[in-house]
Amino acid sequence: MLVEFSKKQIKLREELREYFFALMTDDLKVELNSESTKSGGGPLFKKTLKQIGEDGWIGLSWPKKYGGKEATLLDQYIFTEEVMRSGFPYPFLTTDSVGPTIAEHANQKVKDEIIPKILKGEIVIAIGYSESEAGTDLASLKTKAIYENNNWLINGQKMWTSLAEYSDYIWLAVRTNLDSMDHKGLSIILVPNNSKGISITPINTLGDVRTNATFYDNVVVSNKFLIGKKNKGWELITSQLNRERLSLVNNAPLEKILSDVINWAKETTTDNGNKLIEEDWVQNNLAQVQTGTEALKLLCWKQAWAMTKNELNMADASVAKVYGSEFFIEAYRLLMEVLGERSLLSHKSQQNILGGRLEMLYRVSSILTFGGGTNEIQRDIISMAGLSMPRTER
Amino acid sequence: MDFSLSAQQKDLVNLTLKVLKDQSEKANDLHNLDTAFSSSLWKELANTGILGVNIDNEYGGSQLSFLETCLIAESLGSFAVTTPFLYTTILADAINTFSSKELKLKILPKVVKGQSILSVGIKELSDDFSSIPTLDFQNKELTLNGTTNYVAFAKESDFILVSCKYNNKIKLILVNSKSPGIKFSKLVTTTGEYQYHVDFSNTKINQDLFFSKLSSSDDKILNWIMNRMIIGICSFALGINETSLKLTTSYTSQRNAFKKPIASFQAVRHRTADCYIDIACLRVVTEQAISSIILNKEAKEQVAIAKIWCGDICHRISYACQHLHGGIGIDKDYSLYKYNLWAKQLELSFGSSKFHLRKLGKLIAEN
Repeated sequence: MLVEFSKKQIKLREELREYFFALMTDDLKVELNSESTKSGGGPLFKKTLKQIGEDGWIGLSWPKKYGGKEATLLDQYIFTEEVMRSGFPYPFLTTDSVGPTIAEHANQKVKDEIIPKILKGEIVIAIGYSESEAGTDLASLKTKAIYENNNWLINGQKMWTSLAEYSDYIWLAVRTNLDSMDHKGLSIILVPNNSKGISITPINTLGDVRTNATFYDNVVVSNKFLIGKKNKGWELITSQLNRERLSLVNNAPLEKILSDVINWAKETTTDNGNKLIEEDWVQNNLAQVQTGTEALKLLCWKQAWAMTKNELNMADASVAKVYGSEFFIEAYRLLMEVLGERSLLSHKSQQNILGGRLEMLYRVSSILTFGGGTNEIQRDIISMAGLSMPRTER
Repeated sequence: MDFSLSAQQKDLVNLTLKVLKDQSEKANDLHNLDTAFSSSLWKELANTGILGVNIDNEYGGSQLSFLETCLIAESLGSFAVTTPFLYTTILADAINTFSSKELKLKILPKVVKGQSILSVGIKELSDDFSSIPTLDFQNKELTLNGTTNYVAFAKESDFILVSCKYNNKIKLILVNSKSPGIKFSKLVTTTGEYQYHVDFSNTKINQDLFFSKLSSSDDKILNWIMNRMIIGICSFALGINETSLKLTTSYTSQRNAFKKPIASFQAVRHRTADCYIDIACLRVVTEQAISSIILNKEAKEQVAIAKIWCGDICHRISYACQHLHGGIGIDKDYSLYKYNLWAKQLELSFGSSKFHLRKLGKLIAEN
């Protein structure tokens, strides 16, 4: 047992931290602070993503045959931490979740067309799973695709299709067997976003992150874009969701804001002339956050390590997701208490503290307890897969 | 990065569990509190080499690392059994690492054979309000005066490790527990673990039993021992909590209500899932602390963080498991109550969560 990164891995981390520090120019930060381009899609975002691709980082853990570097999943995890720390809205779903699934399951033509572009940072893929009446119970989704003359004819609507406003494709879950209303009748089709019949309506959210409702009205997509086999989409969805869960609760942004709040409390003088950090209660809040974030960091490291051994246990992925998402909420509260009323000032306000980041983070954090697989379902998975308790209706 | 155990380490865990299982089958009750600990279990732990796990080959031990000590502690925890294992082996490890050859030869072979118990009376390990004993040098004689509290197995041990003050420096000394001038008052603890309030009154101290010269401070060795004691306790707590949860999932899977096992109710499953998450967290922070200790780091933050988790989850899990069991959980014919008692003792021993949060908070402020 050795709970520590190697010297080479530590060097990689340092290199990446410097790299992203230089990449996050003031202009880019301004673009990413603007509500319409917060989650990417702006000109500087696109330029930067291409730069990251050109510098070979997107392919870090990809196989050599695709032009990747075949780094281990632990190296990839270090990369993830450093990107998250930098605040760049890196399209992990495209590069690390959907991308590898395409490489494994797509038609050769589609692979040849799309994989090189993913690795060059030229395309982004949105995910279309949820519908207005299919969220946690995803297998009941109704958007349908009918096979006609070597094409798929798609009709239906999706909710929470984030990034659809600028993505190049939508990774769409559709019902291809209309006789089966459960998970056995589902397939995945990669829909080019410029197809006729797609329309997009923005949904503005509490955390200022834009997401979308997307509508599919007789959209025609070539059969080559069917990923894997017809009616076998469920396995692709679940394996993709397991990969997604890890990047959702990455501890890096919390570590960053914790260290920024610590420094702020060291520099700030209170009305009794002491530094804020000398107060017992402030030390207590900071220690609580440190204690919790350390556990989260280690849960993530352990999972990344388990993935390199191909031993990722389903229950453990859910542990990190539930713990991380609920701890973020608690941690932001504890940190906001340290800042006091000042923590309510937004990044747009004068006198804001630390760029108003906590004011934004607390609003964004509520999404994670239900997004990416709601925590009740994760707890069901833990009791079943981790504790071998009986599986029954909910 | 490697979170795995070697084949040899897994064998050691299995061996320890087998000894415990065999002993509990033989005795029906591993330990009934009429004695400080089960001497037949202790003998068996010695026979199988478990007591010498962290002691050098030349003194009869198997020269393994602190990780192995923790693996054994976790196994002992899973049986909620009271033994002087952690105190004896961690102090033996300290003697093995820091003492003179004479002292090693005097103490370690006996420890390995199960013939000698060692105890730890370090004031810094508790949040007791009494002041630390003092060491005086007069007429060419060293004498110890003062008290140390909550010393487990002090009277049963051959040597007690005491931290004391000498010329404003912290000194660690091994006190022969049979020396004149020592008074033991037995405390009745919640788990029944034999603990003592120990009074030293002009107790003569032999310089051969020091870790270092009289003039030098033992701060570093003190930190070395405290880190290991606290993380040893966290490992023991892993065994306590894992088994509490195992008893609970197994009981709720058999117990029916409304014609269904109660484990099939979402409310029950979610409560156990939260326990599972808590244990996963204690496990990783303990693993990190063990790793830092083995790498000889100061590990102050890592150790505090592990003990905070230990205190918090001992509290949460023991009450969740009691609750989910209902009445049978409090019946002393069923074993869960022992885990509950130990959980509370571990939560508050060697510094509560608040005590360590305070320590960690100070480290954050000072760094």
